[in-house]
Amino acid sequence: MTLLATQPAHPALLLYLRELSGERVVVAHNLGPRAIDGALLDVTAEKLVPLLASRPIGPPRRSAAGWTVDLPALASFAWRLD
Amino acid sequence: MRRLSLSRLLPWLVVPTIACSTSAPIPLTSAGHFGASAPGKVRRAPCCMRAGMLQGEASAGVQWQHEWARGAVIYQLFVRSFSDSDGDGHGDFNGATAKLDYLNDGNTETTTDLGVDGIWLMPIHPSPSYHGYDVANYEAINPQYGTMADFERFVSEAHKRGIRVIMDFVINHTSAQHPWFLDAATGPKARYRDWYVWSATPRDWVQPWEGGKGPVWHERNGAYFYAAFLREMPDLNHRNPEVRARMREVAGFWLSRGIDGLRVDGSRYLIETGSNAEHGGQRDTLETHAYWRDFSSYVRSVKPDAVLVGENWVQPERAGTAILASYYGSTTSVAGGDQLSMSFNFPLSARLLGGVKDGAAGPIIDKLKDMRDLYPAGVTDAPFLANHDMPRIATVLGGDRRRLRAAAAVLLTLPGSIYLYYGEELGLQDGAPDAEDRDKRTPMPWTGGTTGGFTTGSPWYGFSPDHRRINVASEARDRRSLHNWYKTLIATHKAVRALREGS
Repeated sequence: MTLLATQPAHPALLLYLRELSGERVVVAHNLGPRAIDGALLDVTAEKLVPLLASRPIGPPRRSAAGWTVDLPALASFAWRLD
Repeated sequence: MRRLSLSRLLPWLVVPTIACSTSAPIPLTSAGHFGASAPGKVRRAPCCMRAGMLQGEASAGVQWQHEWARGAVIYQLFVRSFSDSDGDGHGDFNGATAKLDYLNDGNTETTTDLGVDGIWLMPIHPSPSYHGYDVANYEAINPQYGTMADFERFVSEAHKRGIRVIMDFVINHTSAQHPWFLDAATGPKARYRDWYVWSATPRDWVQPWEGGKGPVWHERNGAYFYAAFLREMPDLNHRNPEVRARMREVAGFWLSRGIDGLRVDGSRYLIETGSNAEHGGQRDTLETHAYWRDFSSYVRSVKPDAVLVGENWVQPERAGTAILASYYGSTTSVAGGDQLSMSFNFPLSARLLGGVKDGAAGPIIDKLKDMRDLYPAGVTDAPFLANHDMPRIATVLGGDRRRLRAAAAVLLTLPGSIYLYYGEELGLQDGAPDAEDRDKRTPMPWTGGTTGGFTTGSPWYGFSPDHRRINVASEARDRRSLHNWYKTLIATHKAVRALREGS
């Protein structure tokens, strides 16, 4: 598992990468009671394929630094990186 | 991040290999399976071992073959509380067998089951206590739970569904009612006297864990025996070659009956070298590590796909994680570690619950970094949220469903062999407070009825609060229930190899 960069503005954000034989999955948890807008997923990928969502959210957005996503409070998500 | 040297943190970690001084009894199956890979198969021990070669030398190089455990989801089950088949109010093996399809029906096309890969059975042996962590006969089934045939049918039915079965192995101590101790306590010349730890004089040692205050030397017939946990649980003397051989024999007895692994109770406390206060000699001793190295080589020799899971209950700080790391032993000659194949990750459990409760990821991140820095490469972790000795997570989190869902999601996206405590998937809370922890081990509520679908009689202990709302039947009907979230998480975990087996 690779821990992704912590984001001081979002102390409730837990991000990590799981990998096996070229398959990469990024996991994001917002453990806090408030939504996080624009959480940065510091990964490179052409596409993020949703695998797991504890609540409905909009698709991640490509940004200069990677991908960003809006995470509801107390919610968990995983995407496969293609 | 710089990788810290474990041997620098724990200079006693690198211990010399010791060889067993007795020839070990070798359990054999009638079929004499080799290279076990399916649940329940036991391999024939090497002929050099049957001829009596020193065990540590004979099998030290045998590798683990428990790849199945990496990413497995294992369900901790208290037989007394799971399902009662005969109406006496106590759960039993026939009841548990009837509920196996709830855990995993063996059909990948269905979505009604939880989908677990394994079961950890809490103690199943005759015992004077309700919980069984003081064993009075290691090679028998608690008659309240059924017969040996019932047990074997349970294991067989589990294996048919692809469910591995791990059992509690209470090796540190016996019951004070065990015939060995009853004999040992009669006097210095007793046959089994040296199977326990005796002192002619009282000593002021206390229990060996952090904050432990209770006495550990207890008087019996003019002498004092050592018992780390309770007076009713005298410690075995694992320096005695007869005891070592006998406990290997017990392990072999169960492994030959299809058991797929052992959860070793109190694994830090096997061999004392002095008082903890003065020498740190009541826990994590060199001799205890050497014992596990020897015992592990025996288990690998007879069933290399078995797992040895340690209950190394340590404090949540970095030093605690270093202790957990030390119980893997060396990975140089044995991939995955030449001592215990995994240990329950108590430090991570504490940080995970705290992080979810407080809405703070930092403590979890710090703990994951500790593990990254301290664990040997390639080992398997054993994360969990809570167990039978701890307040249920739903109680800790005040029944907050969103936090319970978050805790489950973190757990089931972590690497390792993941352990769930029965009822956790429902959000079961602790029952009525009880000095003997019955409140943490209440009957499983299958329905919201008076007897909860658990029994047709009177349950041995009251259900946790709100069982009329929080039960299997009602949660199965609710698409948004915690139970269905667990099923989704487990299904995703199993379907995505990077989540299940990835680094």
